[in-house]
Amino acid sequence: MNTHEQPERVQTDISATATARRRGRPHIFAILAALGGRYGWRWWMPLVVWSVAATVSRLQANADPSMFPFLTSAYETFTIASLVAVLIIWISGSRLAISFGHRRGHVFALTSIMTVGMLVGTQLLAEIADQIEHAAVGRSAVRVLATRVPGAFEDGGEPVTSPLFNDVLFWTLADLSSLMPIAAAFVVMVCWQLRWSWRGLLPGLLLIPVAFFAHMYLWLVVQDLARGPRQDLVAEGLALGVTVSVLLALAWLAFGRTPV
Amino acid sequence: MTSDTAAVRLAGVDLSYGKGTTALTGVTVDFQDETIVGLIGRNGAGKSSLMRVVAAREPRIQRGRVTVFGVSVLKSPAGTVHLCGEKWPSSRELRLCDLMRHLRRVHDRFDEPRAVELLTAFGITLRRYAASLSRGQRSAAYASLALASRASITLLDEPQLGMDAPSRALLYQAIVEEQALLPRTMVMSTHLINETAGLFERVVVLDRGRVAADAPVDELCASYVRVEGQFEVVSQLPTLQPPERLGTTARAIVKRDKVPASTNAHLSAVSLQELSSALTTTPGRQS
Repeated sequence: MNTHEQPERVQTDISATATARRRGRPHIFAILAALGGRYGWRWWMPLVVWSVAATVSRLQANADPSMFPFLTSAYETFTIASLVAVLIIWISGSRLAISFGHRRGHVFALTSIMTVGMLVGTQLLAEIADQIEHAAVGRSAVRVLATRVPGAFEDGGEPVTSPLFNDVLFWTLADLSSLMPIAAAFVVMVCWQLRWSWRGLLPGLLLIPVAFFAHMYLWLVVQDLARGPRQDLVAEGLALGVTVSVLLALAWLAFGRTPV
Repeated sequence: MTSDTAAVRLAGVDLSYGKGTTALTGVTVDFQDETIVGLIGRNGAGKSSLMRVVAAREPRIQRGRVTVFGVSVLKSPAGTVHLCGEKWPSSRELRLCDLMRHLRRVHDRFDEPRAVELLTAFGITLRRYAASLSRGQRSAAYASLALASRASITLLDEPQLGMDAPSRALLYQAIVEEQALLPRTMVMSTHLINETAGLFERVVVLDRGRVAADAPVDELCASYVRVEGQFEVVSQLPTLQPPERLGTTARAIVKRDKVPASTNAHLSAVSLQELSSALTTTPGRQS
């Protein structure tokens, strides 16, 4: 220690600083920035993929409208890209955030909120874009942003005319219910890709049918109990909330033990 | 050694990676506040694992407790600990200036001019991607950011890996300067013990996941002595390793208080490097 010239010593109390920080709040924007990576690419990557898919679909539809009677691949591409982005955020972004020194619990909470929000946002955005396109091009024209096959969910092949809130929110939740197995799959991916060994993978695999049936059972029970004009919506929301909570609790068991 | 003023405390920590791979066994050690601690041991001794446990990067400990300033490491405030290691997950997609920006958001005391100064001294520009740097440059860049982050607990896991001699000298000088400017707890693992021994106030020697020694450097070196003399004489002593035979004579390292005062063997001081080798088991040989 005596071989170098000693610079002037700064008087500090590191322990006191650490104590003061214990009262601090999580660095929310810092964690979000770390999760997103350079220029936050993990957050907006699905939008770029969606834009490209929509552009290609529009060009194809303009060239041969007969090939697009109902819907195009843009919506599916958007959904898949969002799921891929969610996986990348969990596998890569969350580890980067922890390596910067953020608390694991804070990273998990924010990643959970943001990725579940991202899936909901994807659905909402797609629905809203579909509505806008619907209004812009008319009912009979080809819609490249369509989110579902006309006739399957629309009354007699006619567009649904219910208020935007009911329509969008209901179908968003209904679509999310079909994502439950995928949510379980991403728990598995987290365990597996982040090297939590087979002890994480096996419960994850079992989660897929368990989560699906548990959600269906809850939906039936709540729907039976709920009364009112928005019975389906309430039932779906409650069942989904419980299922997602259980999935997140299990995901924390995996994430909390994941080496970085 | 344990005390109430420890910045980092590991108490009876066991860590294993599946069956048959034990990284740490019953590790109990304290790292005092405002000290530079050397962490030495052979390959696979558990140095990196110990650092990852302290940095909350490895939460799979089977037994024991790890605290930082009295708080469980998993609940310690963000930015309390910074680990500078060979692997930095997903960091290669970022430029050094991006890494610096991210670290600044977590570490309240991050000194950006200092980071630039250190990187410039190593001849590295902020626009470079971590992936585009050579092994030694990347080590220098990560170490510069670690020192500039000024985390209360700074863990340097072989920070000089791949660095040339002048760069290593620059790094050691930077560590001394940083400790003088803003004292903090630094733990540095290394295999270049002769080069770095002067930096350490205390040293922890790990041997196959166990703490083989934990003491101030001078005290540790002074408590052992090299004995050279007739083979019959040396072989009667409780040596750390089997005596090294040279014809009719032999030499070995022995604890000073185990050497009889009446011995006619020649006694000489041992360096930390020699002691480290003697205290740790040769891979493949059971102690």
